[in-house]
Amino acid sequence: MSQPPTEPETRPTIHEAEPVSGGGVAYGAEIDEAKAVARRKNGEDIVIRGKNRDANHALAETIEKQVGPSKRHRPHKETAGRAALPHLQQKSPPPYGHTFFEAPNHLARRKK
Amino acid sequence: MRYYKPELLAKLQSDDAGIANQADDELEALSEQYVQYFEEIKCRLPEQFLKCMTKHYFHDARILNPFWLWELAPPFENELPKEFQEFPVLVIAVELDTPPNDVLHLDYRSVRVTKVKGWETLRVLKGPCLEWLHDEIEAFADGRFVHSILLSEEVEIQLEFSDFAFSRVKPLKKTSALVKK
Repeated sequence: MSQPPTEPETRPTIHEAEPVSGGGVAYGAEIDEAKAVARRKNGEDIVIRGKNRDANHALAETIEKQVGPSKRHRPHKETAGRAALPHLQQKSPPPYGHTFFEAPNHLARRKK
Repeated sequence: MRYYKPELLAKLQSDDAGIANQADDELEALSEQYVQYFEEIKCRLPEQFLKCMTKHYFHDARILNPFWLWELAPPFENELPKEFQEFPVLVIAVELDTPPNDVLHLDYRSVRVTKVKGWETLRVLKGPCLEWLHDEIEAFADGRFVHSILLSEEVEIQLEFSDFAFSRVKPLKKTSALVKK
C-alpha cells in the first residue's frame, strides 16, 4: 500500500515582531538573518514562524546567540497569556526584547 | 511551585535539544493542568485578583518593589523573623513587559509571607532587576489564598492573603531605561 502524501516541510521564516497587550505577538515583514540579528541587537523583537517547533527553536537560538548568551522561556498561559509564544532572550540584558518562535498552539498573528 | 516546576524550567536551558524539548512538553502538559485548576477556583478568587491576572500578562514583568526584600536580606539566612512575616498590607510594584509597559501596584491584604527562596541572590542584587517568570494561585476552604511567584535568578516568594486590590500607573518612561544592573 502506498504511503499517503505528506505535506512538504517548510523552512522557518523570520519576521519583525511586536508584543501586544495580553501576551500575544504580532508579526510583520519577513526579514533575513542579518537584519534579524541587527534588530535584536537594537532591543527590538522578532518572531520565527513555521510548522516545526524544533526547527523554529534552532533558528531562534542561532540568531539570539549572535547577540549574546541567551535563555529560553516558555509562555505562561493560564489566562491572559494564552496567546503568548515561547521565546529566547538575553541572559543579562540589555539588549532587551525577544526572539519569539512558534510552537503547536502558540502562533503569532498578523500585524494590523 | 506545583506546576511551573523550577527543575523543568532549568532543563529548558539544556544544550541537548531532546532534554529541552521534553521539559517543554512536560511544562505544556502541566500548564494545561494549571489552566484546569484555575478555571475550577476562579469563582472563589477575590474579584480584583481575577481581574488583574486575567487582564494583564506578567511574564517578564520587572519587579520594582518591595525593596524591603533587599533591605532585610543581609541579616537573615533562610527564615524571616516573625515580625516580618505578617503584614496588614503588602504592595508589590511591577512594570509589565508588554506595551504600554504599565506599572501595576499589587495590593495584598492580611498577608503572611510563607516562603522566600533565594536570599543569597537578594543579598548581592543592588537594584530592581528581578523579573516575574511564572505564578500560581491556590484557593483554600477557609477563604485564604496562596500566591506563589517565581522570579528570575531562582528567587521564589509565596504570599498567603485574604483579599487583594490593584491599581495601574502609567509610567512616564520605561523603567528599564532608567535602571542599570
